[in-house]
Amino acid sequence: MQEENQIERIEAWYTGTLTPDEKAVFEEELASSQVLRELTEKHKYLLDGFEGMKVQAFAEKLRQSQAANPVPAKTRSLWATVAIAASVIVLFGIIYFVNQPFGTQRMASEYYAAPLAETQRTDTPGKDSFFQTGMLAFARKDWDEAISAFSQIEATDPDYPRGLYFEAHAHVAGNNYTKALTLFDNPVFRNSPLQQQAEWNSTLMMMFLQYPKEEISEALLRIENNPNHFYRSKASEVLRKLTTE
Amino acid sequence: MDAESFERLEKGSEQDLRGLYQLYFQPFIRFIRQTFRCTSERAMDIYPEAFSILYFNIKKGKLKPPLKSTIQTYINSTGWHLYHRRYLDKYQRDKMPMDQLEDRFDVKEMADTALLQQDQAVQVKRMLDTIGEPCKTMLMEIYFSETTYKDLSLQMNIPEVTLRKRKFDCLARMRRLFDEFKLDL
Repeated sequence: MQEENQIERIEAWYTGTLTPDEKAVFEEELASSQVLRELTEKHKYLLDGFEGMKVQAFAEKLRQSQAANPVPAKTRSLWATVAIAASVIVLFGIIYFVNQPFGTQRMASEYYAAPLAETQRTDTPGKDSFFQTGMLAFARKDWDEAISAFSQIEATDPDYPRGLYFEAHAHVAGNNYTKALTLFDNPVFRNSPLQQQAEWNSTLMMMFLQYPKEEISEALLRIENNPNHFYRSKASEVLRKLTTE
Repeated sequence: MDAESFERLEKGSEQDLRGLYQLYFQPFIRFIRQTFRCTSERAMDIYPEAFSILYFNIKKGKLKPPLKSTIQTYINSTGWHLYHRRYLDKYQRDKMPMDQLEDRFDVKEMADTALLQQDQAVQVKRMLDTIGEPCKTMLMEIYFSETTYKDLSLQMNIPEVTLRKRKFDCLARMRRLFDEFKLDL
């Protein structure tokens, strides 16, 4: 009976359902009793094993569902189907007239423009000091310092997306296009005022990194197909160049 | 947006979960492919696991708001640790140290625990196979399927008191296997 009670206490401790007082008493006993310690270690091992099984089973379920419905599963309207069909034709044209090896990199340099540092906000004291430090460093072109400062902005800070955006540009300045692409792709930009800039710069990073032309063209077409996209005409221009060069 | 996603992960329906699974998929694949220069297939193999680990940590209340980073970063970093541990040899791991991963939070512990639990799951399955039925089914129902004593007693047609007693007997048999299996605690 004693052991059964202990098992129930261990399970309550494991699932975090003991009150703070009960937890303190339990942990005190744990520190002083070799028998309880051994029982706890063994039972925790078993409970961890069952937790591991649950995660594996859930992952397996997702894996099977992924195989059955490849992600992303998209439902397309007739308009989208026509647009995609048209895009595919354009895409084949692009692939056919594919550029020399460093063509997309060169083109990306032509179109890439780093934003101006927002140093006018630096007189605001207090909470956004990492943002301020980052911006001042960005203005000085001290990219390492800028990255270090921007990366310390908490995700909960309202300046987090803007800091992340400038951090990405600081990585571009340091030729770390891979890292910059990861940052521009961050979902924090979705539905934010920086969404279109992030999409455009993400595409340019793919060009710097010499992604397959098909992937670059797909990204450009996504921008071109959005009538409200600020970079729509630039995307069209790049697409034209890709096909004609 | 991340707060909303967190809530959907914590309490959402299967449809919500499916939507989020798709939302984080492409950036994850791209991140793993770029970081490890691996195939999409390999990145896709890791993704369900990384997503599941995050999901269970949220469900079990081990990960609570406010998050120190975006959910995407949590999933990507978890995937990074899984890939790092599972697919790289020692030489490759040394060439790709942890500090290359710009975590703004400690996801390592979460991934370490998950990997340890996977190893433990293998051993627990072996132990269950060794003790056999009816203990195996009973313990799986209680600890894996989280079936309540009430439901299980109806299912097995035995009183709850007897069920509990049998559970403790089965657990005692499992514990006796630790020495035989030479398990490190």
